[in-house]
Amino acid sequence: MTIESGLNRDGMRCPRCGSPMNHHADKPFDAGEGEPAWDDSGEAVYRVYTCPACGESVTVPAAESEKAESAKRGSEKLW
Amino acid sequence: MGKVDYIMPERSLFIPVILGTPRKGRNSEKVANFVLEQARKLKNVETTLIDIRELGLPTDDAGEAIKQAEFSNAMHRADALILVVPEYNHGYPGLLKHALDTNLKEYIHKAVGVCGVSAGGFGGARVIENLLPVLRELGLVTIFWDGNFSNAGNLFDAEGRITDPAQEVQIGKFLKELIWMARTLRQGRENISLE
Repeated sequence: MTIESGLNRDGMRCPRCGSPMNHHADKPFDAGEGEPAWDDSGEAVYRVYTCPACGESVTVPAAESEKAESAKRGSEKLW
Repeated sequence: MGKVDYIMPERSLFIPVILGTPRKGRNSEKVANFVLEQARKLKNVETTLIDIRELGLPTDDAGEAIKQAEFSNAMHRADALILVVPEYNHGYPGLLKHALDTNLKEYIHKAVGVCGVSAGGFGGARVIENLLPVLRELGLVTIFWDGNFSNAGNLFDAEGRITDPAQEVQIGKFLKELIWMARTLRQGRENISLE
């Protein structure tokens, strides 16, 4: 199988095999009572990644992912 | 943009069958065993039966807070699901919804097919229709073939063998579509970026 490298993988690496992972979904869910609401609508989003090499998948709350990316850019602004 | 080659034999698909009712004397158990047997005949498909009665989920809470590790791991690993669901008062069993709601991210961009089971003649068509919006919200992708098991009390002989050969033909088509969708979605999950 040949795939294009450089697809938007957000730098996520597979925890099982270390390959770059594919970001294929942002899934909204209702933040429950006591959970942080990550946007104005109270909706939180999971970012979902799957590894093309071994099939492992990882889900990260978008808020955490944004913070990580922001920190990488050296920016204070998260949103 | 450079290219990366991933050359590998295709990994097996993992497609568990979920028996969606805890009711005693359930005819859906015979249907689930029949579907499981048909799925086991397929190349490159691993399957297992998950009986929601055996999950032991508490009922004093709900949702991901009561996630059961073994069930969650199976959903995480799955490429597709087969739900065997009886129609009770035109709806799905409450315990099935309770069980499905314990996971969310585990389901995203995975295929699902539903086998409806009914005592009467509609083959669970109404419960299937009722279940579709739930499955969609969970992030699953439904197929357009269903399993329809009407008159479930008379569908199996005393040894649990199905008496209507047409059911094998129908479930064969259902499984082919489900596998196509599972393979396509795996390709998408692994290689097609959202952005």
